[in-house]
Amino acid sequence: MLTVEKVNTFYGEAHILFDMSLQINEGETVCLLGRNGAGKTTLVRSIMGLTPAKSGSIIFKGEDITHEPPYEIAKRGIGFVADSRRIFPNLSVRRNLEVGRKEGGGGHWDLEAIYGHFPQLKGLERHSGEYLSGGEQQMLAIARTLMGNPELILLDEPSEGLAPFMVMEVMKIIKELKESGMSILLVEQYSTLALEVSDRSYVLDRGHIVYAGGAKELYENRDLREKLLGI
Amino acid sequence: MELFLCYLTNGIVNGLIYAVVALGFTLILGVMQVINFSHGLLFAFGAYFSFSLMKYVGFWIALPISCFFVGVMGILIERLAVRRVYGKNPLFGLLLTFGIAMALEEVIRMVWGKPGHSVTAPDFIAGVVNLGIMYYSKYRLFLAGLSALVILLVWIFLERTPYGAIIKAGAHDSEMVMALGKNLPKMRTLVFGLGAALAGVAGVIAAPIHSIRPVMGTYVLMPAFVIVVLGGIGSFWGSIIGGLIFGISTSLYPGRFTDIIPYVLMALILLWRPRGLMGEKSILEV
Repeated sequence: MLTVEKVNTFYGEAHILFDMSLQINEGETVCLLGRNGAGKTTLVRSIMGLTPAKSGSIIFKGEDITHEPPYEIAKRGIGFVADSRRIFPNLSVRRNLEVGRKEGGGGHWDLEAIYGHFPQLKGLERHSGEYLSGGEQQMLAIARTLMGNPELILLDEPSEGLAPFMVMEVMKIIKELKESGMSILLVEQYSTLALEVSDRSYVLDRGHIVYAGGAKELYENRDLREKLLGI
Repeated sequence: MELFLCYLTNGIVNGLIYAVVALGFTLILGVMQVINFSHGLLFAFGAYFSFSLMKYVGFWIALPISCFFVGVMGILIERLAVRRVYGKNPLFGLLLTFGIAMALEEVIRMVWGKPGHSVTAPDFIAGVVNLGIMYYSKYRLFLAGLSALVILLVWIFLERTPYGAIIKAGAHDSEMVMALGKNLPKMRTLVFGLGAALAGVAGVIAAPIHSIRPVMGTYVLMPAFVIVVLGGIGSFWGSIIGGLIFGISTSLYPGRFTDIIPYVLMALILLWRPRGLMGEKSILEV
């Protein structure tokens, strides 16, 4: 579904990603692990067209999207949930969701489906995005992206800064999305929880991929995990 | 007392027109972070277009057509020039639009000539109306109503339509709006056009009160800027309240020092609230 091929990305002069290649198949959940500053967020931003790759190619559903603007990439079916959520604080919960709806619409996720799935958001419908708790914001951020009915969703550190109980809640949502057949790229810093829900895993270190393989193997191989991630 | 009420009403009427101008200015500033110095000239073009058109088609048709033309001018300005300075130092946008304003002012001189023209109010609202406590110009009341209607329509657009939500979201986090599949360049062009059209409609409305002159654009820019700063950058209600403060404070005591009053008020308000009455952190703080 998504093929990243030898991508190099820079922030100004700084070379962040080196010949990075990865693959996400349809219906697969892939997690991207690595320490802070490994380049995880940059990779997600390159896929999304927010920090376009300087060389290499990114192919989604057989089409080259490397140099497309972010809104075209989103329209083609990639959804992006940013780290730190980035809820619009000047809009209500409901209007945050409406911004996520794409022109033309269609697909399973509409306001009704979202409220059915996230009943707490319905209760907060009229509240300003500014006054939500971290967990509520994360839920809204995911729901807002779902409103665009993506086929592949990029989740950048969805458990960051959440209470343990909310982390479990978010993982439950990810599992449900996975069961619904959605392809998922899950970015996390340390989480063994991420490995539990994933089929495959990549580990990044200073802009290089240092591990690519089954999530289960990495989950069970504690020594390897310690070596790669320091946990 | 009657004189005071009359001045006060004048102030409110002027204030509402200023508010419409400032609304367009603050919309462009809030969404694009561009200080549009050509905004006053767009106001002037609204007035001049209606001056030329009204002779042939009457007020009601001249109003939307002038407005539309000014909107198109705004779209062209954005497409051809302003979009090149997005994300750059705000001074670039300021200088660029300042240049555009000077060029447009010369265009007015070339097309309509240097001397001013007077625009007659449409017949159906000529004369005065008895308000009980005083007689007041029908046209000015009509202006106030029309300005209030425009303000209401903008509010409905921003607060009640999905497109308004996208614009407000874009003013806060344009990157996230793009990542959610919204064509940001197109949205920016439309917002610029809308902001320009607001300047245009204010120009049409204001034309019969003042005579129209090539410098009218430059003259209205400073009030718009003051209103937006004292009301708070990018704030809808800030523009309305700021507009009313400006209008009323310049109408209550006609005399030599009138023009100073809003600036003194602005200084006082900024000492008390540095971001303006309704302001939040904005581009001017970078």
